[in-house]
Amino acid sequence: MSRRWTRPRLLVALAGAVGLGLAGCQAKVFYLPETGAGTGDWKPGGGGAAGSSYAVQELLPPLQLLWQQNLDGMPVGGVIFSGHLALQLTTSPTLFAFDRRSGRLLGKHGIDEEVCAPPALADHLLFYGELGKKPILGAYDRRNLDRRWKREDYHCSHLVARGDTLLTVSEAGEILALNTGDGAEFWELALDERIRTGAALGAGSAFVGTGAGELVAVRLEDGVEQWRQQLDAGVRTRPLFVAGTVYVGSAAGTVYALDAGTGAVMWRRPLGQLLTDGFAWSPGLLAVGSVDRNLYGLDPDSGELVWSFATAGVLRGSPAATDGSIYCGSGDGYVYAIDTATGGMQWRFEVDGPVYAPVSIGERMIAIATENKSVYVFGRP
Amino acid sequence: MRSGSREAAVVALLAGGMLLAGAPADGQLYRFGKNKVQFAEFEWQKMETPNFEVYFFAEEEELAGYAAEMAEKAYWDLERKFGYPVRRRVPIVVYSSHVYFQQTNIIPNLLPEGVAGFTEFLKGRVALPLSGSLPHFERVLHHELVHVFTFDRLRRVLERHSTAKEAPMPLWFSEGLAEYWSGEMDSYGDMILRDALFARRLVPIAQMHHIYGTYQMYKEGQSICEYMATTYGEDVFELIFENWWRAETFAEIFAITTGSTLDELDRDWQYHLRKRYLPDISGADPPSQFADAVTRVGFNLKPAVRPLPRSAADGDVGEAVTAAEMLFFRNHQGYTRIARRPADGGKVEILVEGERSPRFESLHPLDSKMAVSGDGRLLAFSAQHVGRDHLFIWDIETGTERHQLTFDDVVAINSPSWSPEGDRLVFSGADKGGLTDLFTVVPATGELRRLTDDIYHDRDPDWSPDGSRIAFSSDRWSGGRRGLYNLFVFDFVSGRMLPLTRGEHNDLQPDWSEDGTRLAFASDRNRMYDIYAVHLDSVAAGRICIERLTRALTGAFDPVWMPGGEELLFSGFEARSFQVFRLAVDDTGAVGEYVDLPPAAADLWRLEGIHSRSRFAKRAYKHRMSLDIAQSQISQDPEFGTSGGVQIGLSDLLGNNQYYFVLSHISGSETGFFDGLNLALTRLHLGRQLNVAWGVFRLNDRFTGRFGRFVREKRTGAYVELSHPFSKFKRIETRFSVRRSEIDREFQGQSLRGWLMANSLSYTHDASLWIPTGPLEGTRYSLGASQTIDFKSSRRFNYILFGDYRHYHRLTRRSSWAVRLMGRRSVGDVPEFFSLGGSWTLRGYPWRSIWGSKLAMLNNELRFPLLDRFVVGLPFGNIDLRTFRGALFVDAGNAWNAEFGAWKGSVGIGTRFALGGVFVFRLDAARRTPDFKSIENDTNWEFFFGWDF
Repeated sequence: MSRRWTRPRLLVALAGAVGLGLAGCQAKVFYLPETGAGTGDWKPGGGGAAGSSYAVQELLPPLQLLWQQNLDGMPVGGVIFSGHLALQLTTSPTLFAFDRRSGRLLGKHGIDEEVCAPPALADHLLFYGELGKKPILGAYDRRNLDRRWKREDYHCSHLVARGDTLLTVSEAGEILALNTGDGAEFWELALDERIRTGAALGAGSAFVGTGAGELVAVRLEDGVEQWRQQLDAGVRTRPLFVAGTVYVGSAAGTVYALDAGTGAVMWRRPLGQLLTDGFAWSPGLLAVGSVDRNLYGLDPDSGELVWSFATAGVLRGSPAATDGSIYCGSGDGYVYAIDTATGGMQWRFEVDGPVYAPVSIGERMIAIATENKSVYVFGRP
Repeated sequence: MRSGSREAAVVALLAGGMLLAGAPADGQLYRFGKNKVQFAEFEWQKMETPNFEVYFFAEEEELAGYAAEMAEKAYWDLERKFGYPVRRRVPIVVYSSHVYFQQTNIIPNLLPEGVAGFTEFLKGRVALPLSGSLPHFERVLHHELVHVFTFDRLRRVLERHSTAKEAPMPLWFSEGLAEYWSGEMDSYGDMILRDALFARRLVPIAQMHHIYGTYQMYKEGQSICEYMATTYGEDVFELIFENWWRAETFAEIFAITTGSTLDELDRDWQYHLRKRYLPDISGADPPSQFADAVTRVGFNLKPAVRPLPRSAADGDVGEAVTAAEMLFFRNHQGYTRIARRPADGGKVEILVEGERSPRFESLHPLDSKMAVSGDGRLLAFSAQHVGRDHLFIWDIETGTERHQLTFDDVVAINSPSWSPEGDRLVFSGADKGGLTDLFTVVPATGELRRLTDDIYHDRDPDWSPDGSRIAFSSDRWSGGRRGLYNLFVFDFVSGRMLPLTRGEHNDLQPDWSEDGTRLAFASDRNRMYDIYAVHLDSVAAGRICIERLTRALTGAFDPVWMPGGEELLFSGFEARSFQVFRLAVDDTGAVGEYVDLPPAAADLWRLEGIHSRSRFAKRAYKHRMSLDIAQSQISQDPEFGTSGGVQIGLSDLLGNNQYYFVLSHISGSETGFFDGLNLALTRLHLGRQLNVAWGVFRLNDRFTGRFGRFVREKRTGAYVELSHPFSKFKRIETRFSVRRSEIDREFQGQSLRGWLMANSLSYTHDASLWIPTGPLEGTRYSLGASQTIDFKSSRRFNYILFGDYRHYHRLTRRSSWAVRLMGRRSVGDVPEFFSLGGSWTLRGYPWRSIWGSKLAMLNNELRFPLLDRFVVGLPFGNIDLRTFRGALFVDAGNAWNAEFGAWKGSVGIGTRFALGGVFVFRLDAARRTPDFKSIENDTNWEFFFGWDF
């Protein structure tokens, strides 16, 4: 595989110099985290490239636009905050790296073949798959994008990395646990059903929803299936694990809460239409958007509808939660901040096009990418 | 409900543009083809809603408001189903009648009656008519908007992934999904599928091209999509669209999305269908199993019974008259006719020839019944004539017209029914605004009375034998909002409208028995269309007796009582066709069932509409031009060098005003840059009955010239052309042009340069019936004259007289004998020269090998089917060739200057096959016959393309 660094070498060198300055001693460093934080799974940072998230910080609106940058294609997933970087994958396909504070373009990396799912990040490795004549899944050094390993048994997969395990959940129904370090297979499980979303990890298990409407719990250690629960339609909203409960949404627009240990349905809430790719969770509130243009706030304990907020466009990308606010992008071209307690609008910002990508949350900032090929980062100064 | 093919539209646009752009006056003397006539001129207006631009004319403002509301509602639904919005205002052009809809210039194609709407993709327009029922209109609108969403979604997915490789979408899928997402499978759909299953005519997915574009394809597609949603989840379609960028065939995309192959889907779907429909046979039969087929060939439907007048009936005049004649619509060779035959069998006679003359452009055989007067002498029927429906009163015995009635305010007329005295008729008519109500008319005076006036669709009226009531079918009840019809009775004495049946089903086509005690009707109350009879004398304690007279596995419609009331005629659907059947009522063993009479109080539905008084204000329509097509091309020719060019087509939203611009350059060695430049601009005005085209051109053409060799002609000038169609079949055209012409040859020592003024006049008639390879039946001809003068030197270049007559005599259903007689004569200082030879003219002689200023030719050709299907297996896939036909021909002709010489003749055989609905390939093997007594041994083979003459 060849790499295409389309920025002039001068810029790369400059960025490298910045990196060096920050890193202090490493040569050829490019994607070096600013601090130690965020070098693990990006998800605990709140938001992410895809899927559900839960609130970990306070970021009270109104926010200010910190920076905006143009992309060369539509976003695939959301922005990944990692150290001083904000990464965004596009359909071109290109991986962009921006300085998270200034928005300065640090580099962009052209990918040879089409990508169909957002990348994942773990420690110093970045993972993404390519759909060429020989589809591959590769692990790349986030600092210089040298490929560390690749596998050719790849299907369009949702990726989740946790510790030394990379979990790939392919659309063909295969769950593969790989060693992030060398790509070696820990275990494999075939569910024989199409899978439309990624997995949630928690309590030593992976929770995977199938297109046939089953939520399956698999022991992360050895891939042994623990339980299955049939839902009313195929799973289209990525499960979210919070404190012993798994939340999941079906294509029929029903939100389920299941006991993570047994799979028993604790409650179900029909919302009627296709839901966003993921949930956002904040203490006392589970938020999910819908193609019916509404953002819904549910009581995570009972499933009762706490509030709904109407936008003027469809909601596809996952919302994200901070302490006190739910952020979401809408097809109407606005980014909204909604009060978790009341469902009232706290803030909104008009961007240059519809937002169908998830909202990502970094430290004291949020990011979204629009269908007009732009990425926006908001925060508090 | 069909979608305009992008390819077909582009081809038609470019062809239209090229035909007109700068064509020399003498280059094309005439063109055949039927006309799209703008009989009505409208003042168009526009209403803008959040997601739509609704175009309408003044009389249909109310309809436009409903359409806008319906469209917004559909948008709301489809945005959720697709998961994404359409990010533009979608233009919707509304027509209050199918007659007006057929006049649309949005697409160039002639629109048959079966087309309920279309979506055009160059400008993303939707056009549809109201055909009586507003709920059905809503369903069609919803269907078309599925297409709009589909193509918008695909465009965005491909754009998102920066790919131009677009997998072609199978028509069964796009139409099936549009059907599935616009409403549930109705009883007609069930009927089609059940019939396909039991007649072993269910077409598998892989062979869906066999029924391309047919109603069966729509319904099979709908059923497949329904099955897909059940099996893979309702979101499977959204996922398929999301994956559209990932493969180049629909089969691959389907496999990526579902993990299954189309073959597996097909197998499972067919099994599912069998499981669903096969049990029906335990309680029902095809019509041929329980009734006597009165007709067997072609399509025959909507019978009307004519009690034979006493003078014509056999037997004693004192006996009850039971002899009867049956009149019905018959289409067994492409044209619909009104036929008659004795009800107990005998020879079929054609009473009225329809669809081949302006007088009866359409007889509406699917929508409108006909009626015989009580004395059996007069037949009333509706026919489309010069842009609206007319009511014809026909003398059955003499076969002549008694009355032809048309009404200023009634555009469409359906299903007339005589009063018992024969002095009045009731019919279902649509006004200019599209609302369909009941009207009565006195044929002798034309006095018209409107019985109903509201948004409900009142249809199938039938006058009671005592003249006091009219039974009809209508959606004027709460279930009507869902498109369901029940029976009603209008009482002349009280002036009241009373419901007769009530339920979540359709009750249609009521017919009173002779004694007025029973009313037969068709109903799908048991999920199959069957014939029922309600006993009007059975009312007791608010209940009434209804008998189910048939149990048709497929469908039974249009019941009419025979004299005496012991038998019924009806239209039965079986094996993809309608036939007329005769049913002995007493033999049915039907047991009446008492049902509740519906309450007399009105139970009406209302419709919300967005009206122009609201914030969605109406505006006058502006002829804003926008791009239809821009195409460039470049070619390399070893003799003429490189040529390249661009063609641009612009039109307004209604298609009434069109521009074509052609710019090309030929960089031959003998030409400079400006010499090789070709420019042509054509403007078309199609909004009125008189079509006007004008243009300017500067052309430097190379072509096989009038001297049988390549010549180059530089032409600079302008032209105007007027075309006045009198009807779908006839038009007169005139053309005037002025040009500076420079031909790089001399003729008899004379320079061929000068300022030429040319005019021409032609009359063209075309009522031919086509199959994919060319005409099969009918007649077409064109006659005319043209002259060209050099107006600067007052020199008459030439004048031309021409005539071309073609007749296609049908021999069997798929074979015919075609004759063409063509003559041309040009005289003047520089006469025009005509050529013969080649597959299109005189076969057996090389292409354009015979030249002369006079031409005469006679072609005789026997056209017959060879193979219905010819598949060429190739490693990369099969080429499936359709409509493989043969021809035997005898040609005679000559082109000459001073002396005729001798006739040149040839005999031969040929074959043609149609490919893709656009190309026809022709292979002829001909031998010359110099004296018409002997045939030469040399065989001249010629491979060419083009439709049969």
